[in-house]
Amino acid sequence: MRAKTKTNIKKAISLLILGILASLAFIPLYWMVATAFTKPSLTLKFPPEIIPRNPTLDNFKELFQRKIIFRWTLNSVIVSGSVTIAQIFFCAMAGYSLAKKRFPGGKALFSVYIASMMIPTQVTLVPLYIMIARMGLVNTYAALILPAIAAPFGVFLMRQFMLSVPSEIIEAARIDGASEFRTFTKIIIPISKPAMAVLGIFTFVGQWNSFLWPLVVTNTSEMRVLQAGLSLLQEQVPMQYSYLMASATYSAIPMIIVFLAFQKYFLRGITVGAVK
Amino acid sequence: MKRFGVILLVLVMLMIPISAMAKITITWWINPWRIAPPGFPSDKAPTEEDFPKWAAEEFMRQNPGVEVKYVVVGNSEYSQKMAAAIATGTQPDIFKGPVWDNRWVGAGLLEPIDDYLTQEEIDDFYEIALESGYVNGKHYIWPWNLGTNGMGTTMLLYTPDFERAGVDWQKIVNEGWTMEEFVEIAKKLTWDSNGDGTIDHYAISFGAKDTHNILNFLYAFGGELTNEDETIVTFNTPQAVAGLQFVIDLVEKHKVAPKGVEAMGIYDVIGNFHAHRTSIGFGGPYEIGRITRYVKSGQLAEEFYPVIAPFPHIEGQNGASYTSASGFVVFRQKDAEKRDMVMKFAKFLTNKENTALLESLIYLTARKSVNELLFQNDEYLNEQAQTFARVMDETGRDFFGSQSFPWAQIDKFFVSALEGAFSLTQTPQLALDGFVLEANRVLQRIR
Amino acid sequence: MNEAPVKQRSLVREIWKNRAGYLFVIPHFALFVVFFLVPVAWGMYLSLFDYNVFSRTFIGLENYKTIFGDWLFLRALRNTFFYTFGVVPLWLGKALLVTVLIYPFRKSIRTFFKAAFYLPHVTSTVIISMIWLWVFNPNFGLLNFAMRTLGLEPVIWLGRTATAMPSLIIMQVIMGGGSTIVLLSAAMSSIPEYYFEAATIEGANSWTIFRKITIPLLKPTILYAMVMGTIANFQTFSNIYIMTKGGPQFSTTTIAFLVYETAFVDYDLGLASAMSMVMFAILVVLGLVQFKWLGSNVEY
Repeated sequence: MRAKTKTNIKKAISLLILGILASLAFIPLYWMVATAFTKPSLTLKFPPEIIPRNPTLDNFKELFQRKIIFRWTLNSVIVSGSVTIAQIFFCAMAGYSLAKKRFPGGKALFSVYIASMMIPTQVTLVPLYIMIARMGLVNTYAALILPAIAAPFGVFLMRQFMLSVPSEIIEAARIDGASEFRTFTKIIIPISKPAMAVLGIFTFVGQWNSFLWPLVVTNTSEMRVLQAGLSLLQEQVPMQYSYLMASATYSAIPMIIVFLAFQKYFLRGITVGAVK
Repeated sequence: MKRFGVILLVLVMLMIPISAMAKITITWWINPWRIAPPGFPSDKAPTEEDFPKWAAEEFMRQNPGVEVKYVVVGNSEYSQKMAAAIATGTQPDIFKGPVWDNRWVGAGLLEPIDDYLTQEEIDDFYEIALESGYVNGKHYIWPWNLGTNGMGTTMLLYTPDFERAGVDWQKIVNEGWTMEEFVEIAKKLTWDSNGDGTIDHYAISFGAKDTHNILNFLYAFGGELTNEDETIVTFNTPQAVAGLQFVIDLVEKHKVAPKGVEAMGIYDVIGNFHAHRTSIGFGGPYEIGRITRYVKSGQLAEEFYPVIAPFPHIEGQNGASYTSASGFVVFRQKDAEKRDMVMKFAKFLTNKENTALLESLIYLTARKSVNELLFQNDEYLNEQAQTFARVMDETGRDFFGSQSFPWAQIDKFFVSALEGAFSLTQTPQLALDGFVLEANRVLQRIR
Repeated sequence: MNEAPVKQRSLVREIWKNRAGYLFVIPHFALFVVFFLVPVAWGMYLSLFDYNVFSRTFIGLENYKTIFGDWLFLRALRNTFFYTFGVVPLWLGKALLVTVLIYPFRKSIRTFFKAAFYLPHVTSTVIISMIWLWVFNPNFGLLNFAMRTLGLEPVIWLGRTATAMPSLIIMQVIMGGGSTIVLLSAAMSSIPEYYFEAATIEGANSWTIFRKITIPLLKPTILYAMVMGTIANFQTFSNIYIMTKGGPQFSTTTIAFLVYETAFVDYDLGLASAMSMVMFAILVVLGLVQFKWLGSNVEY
C-alpha cells in the first residue's frame, strides 16, 4: 500500500513539472494557431485576446487562393519523402557498419563524418551551388534531394544507436550461418526501428522546414517547396501576423502527421528482451 | 541494389528537359512587387507573378524569336542567390532588386547604358533618378521608381488627431514647421486615451533598427555624413550630435514618443501609426498605398487618409528629406545582338506606359511626364503626390553617401550607436564618436 | 626484407575480408563525398583567398590575421560561447529530466507529452522567432503585458545589452529540447525492461537506478545530443537575424551571424570562410572533449 502511494505521489509531481514545462513551450504555439484563426485587423490588439472571439477561416481562404500552394506542398512531399526514405536506409547501413564492423579506415571515416558536421554550412552554399550548376542540375528535384541525403548527422545518429545493440545477437546470427545481408535485414533493422523512426522524423521535419537552399537553387515558381514559397509570400505581407500564422499552421500539419505516424515504432525494448 | 536502380531511374526521369532553342533568351530577376499589369481587374489584388508574367509575354509577343524567363527573387534569399549566380557566371541579364551593389561596376559585371539613352529619356528622367546609377562617369541604371524607402522622406499626419488638438495641419503642409513648433505640437498630440493614468497615445514613434527617420534629424541640424570627397566620416560634429540629442529628448525629456526605441524597428513604427497609437507617421505615397493595401487585405480595419508634410526644420535653414531611386541594371553581355535586345527590353520596361503601371503601388515614377499624369482620378492622392514632389525638390538629398560609398558595410555600426544612445548607455556624442571610429576604420580597409 | 610486400598483401586481405563493412557504408558515403565533403573542402580552401565572388586572389593567412585583429570577431566569439554554454546544459538537463519523468507512464500519456514538447520543432525557427519577437515587444508584447498586470516595471528585453542575450537563451531553452526528448525516449525504450525490474527487485531506489543504469546506457545517445546540440547552437543564426540583427550594440552578434554578414552583405567570402574555419576548429576541440568525457562504449 505504501509503495503504491509513494509511486502515485511521484507520478503526480512528475505530471506537475511536465505540465509546467510543456505549457511554457506551448503558449507561443497556441498564440500562433489562435492568430491563424483571428481576423487580420484584430491580431495585434492590445491587450491581447486569449481566445479569439470571432474565429474566422479567412486567413486560410486567402492562403489557398494562390493555387500554386498545392504544387509547393506536393514538391515538399516529394522532396522530404524521398530524402527521408533514402536517409533512413543509407544511414542505417552506414551506421551499422561504423558501429559494429572493424575495417581499415573505419575509425578515420567516422571522424571525418563527425568533423564535417562542425563546419558551418553558410560558406558551403556557394561552392555547393557551383557544383550543382556544373552538373546542370539547377532547378531540378535532384538538386533538392541529393545534397540533403548527403547530410552526415544521420550516420552519426544511427551509429550511436547501433552501439547499444548487443553484439551477441549478431554473433549468434553469424554462427547460425546467416549472410551479412540477412543479418542486417532480419535482425538489425527490426531492433533499430525506434532509431530509424527518430531519424525519419528528424529528417522529414528538417527537410520540410529548410528553405534557403531550395530558394537559391530553384528558379521557377513550380519548383519551389512549401516553406520556400511561403517565405516569398510572407515577405510581401510583413507584420500581417494572421496570414503568417495561418501559413505556418498549414505547413506544420504534415509534420505532425509524420510525427504521429512514426510514433508507433517506439516500442519498449520488447524485441530485445525476447531474443535474450 | 534495387534501391540504387530506383533512385537512378527517378533521377533520370526528373532531369529537366532541355528547353526549346529560342534565338535569344533573356533571364530577368525581379523583386516581389505586386504591380497590376494593364487590364487587371481592379477589385482583385495582384500577386508578385502577375506583372513579370505579363511583361515577359508582351515583350515576347512584340519580339518573336526572343524568350524572356523571369524569376521572382525575395529579399531573404537575394544576396545568397546573387552571390551564387555571379560565382557560377549564371547571373541574370537584367535585374531589379531591393538594392543593387555598386561594386558590380568595379568588377566589370554591368553594362553601361549611356549609348542607349536617348536625349528624350535624359530629359524625362529626374536628375536624381539618373544620379542613383551614376558611377565613374557612366550610368548603369534604367530608372523606374522614385523614393524607394519612404521613412526619411516626409511625415504623414493623421489629421483627425490634429484637429482634435486644435492644430492647423494645413499650415504645416504648406509652410513646414520649425523644431520648436514641432515639440509644442507634439506635446498636444500626446495623451491618455482610456483614462487609466498612463499615456498610451503618442505624437510619434521611432525605431533604432531602421535609421532613416532619425537620420533626417541629424541632417536637418546640419550634420554631414562625410567630408567633400568621402574619405572621412564626420557624423560626430556638434550639429549631428544635436540632431540625435533632439530625437532622444523627444522620448526622454518631452515624452512625446514611446520608450524602447533601441528595440524597435520600422514595422513597430508603422504599426503604431496604423493603429492610431501615434498621430505622426513616416513615408510618402508608397506608405499611403500601404494603408490601402492593408485595408484591402483586411489587416487594417478602417481606411484613413493621412496627409504628407515635410519633416521639421531648423529656423532659418533648409530641412532634409531622403531621395532615392531605383531601376533595372543590365549585366554585361558578350553578344552584341543580345545586348541590344536586353537594352530594348529595359527600355520597354521603363517606357512611359509601363512605368505608369507603378501607379498601382502608389510609387512615384522616375519620369517627369508620367508623374504629372498620376492619380488623375484621385484628388486626394494627386494632392499628396504634389506635396511629395515639392518637398523632394526643395529639400531632397541622399542620406547614405554617393554610389561609391560603402554604407552597407558601416550600417551596423550606426545602428549600434543609435541603440547605445537611445538606451542611455552612451551619450549621443560618445555613440557617434564610436560610429565614426569604426566607419573610418572600414573606409581605410577598403580604400 | 620481405616486410613491405607482406604488409601490402595483408592490407588488401584485410579489406577483402571486411568488404561487407565497406559495402554498407558506400551508398551514403558516395553521396556524402560529392555533395557535402567536396563543397565543404572547397569552402575551407576559399579561406586562403580574397574571394568576393567576382575575383579571387591568393592571400594565404591574411584573412586569419584580419579576423583575429577584429574586435567584433572576438566579441562574436565571446557571445557565441556565452550563448552555447548557456543553452546546452539547460536544454540537455531539461530533456533528460522530461524523458525520465515520462518513462513510467503509459503509452498514451508518453506520446502526448512527447508531442507537446516536439511541437515547437515542426514550426520553422523563423516563425518561432517572429512569435517571440512579439512576446518581447517593449510596448505591446505578451511578456511586458504580464509584467504590467503583476505590477512590475516593463523591461526592454531585446533593447538592453544585459537582457538581450539571456532572453534569447531562455527562449531557446523553453522552445527547444523536443527532438532530444524524442531521441532519448527512443533510446530508453530500447533498454530491456528487465534491467530496471531487476534493479528494483534488488532494492535500488529511483535515483540510483537513474545514476547507475539509465545514464550509462543512454550515454551514446546523450553524447550524440550534446555534440549535435553544441554544433547547432554554436551556429545559431535565424533567431538573431529575425529578432535582434546582432544588436543591441553587438551583444547578440554570434559568429554565424557575422559570417552571414561578411559573406552576403560585405560579399567577402574568403573572410567568411576563414571565420568558419575558426568556428570549425573550436567545435572540433569541444567535440573531442565531449567524446573523451562520454565516449567510452558501454558493453552489456
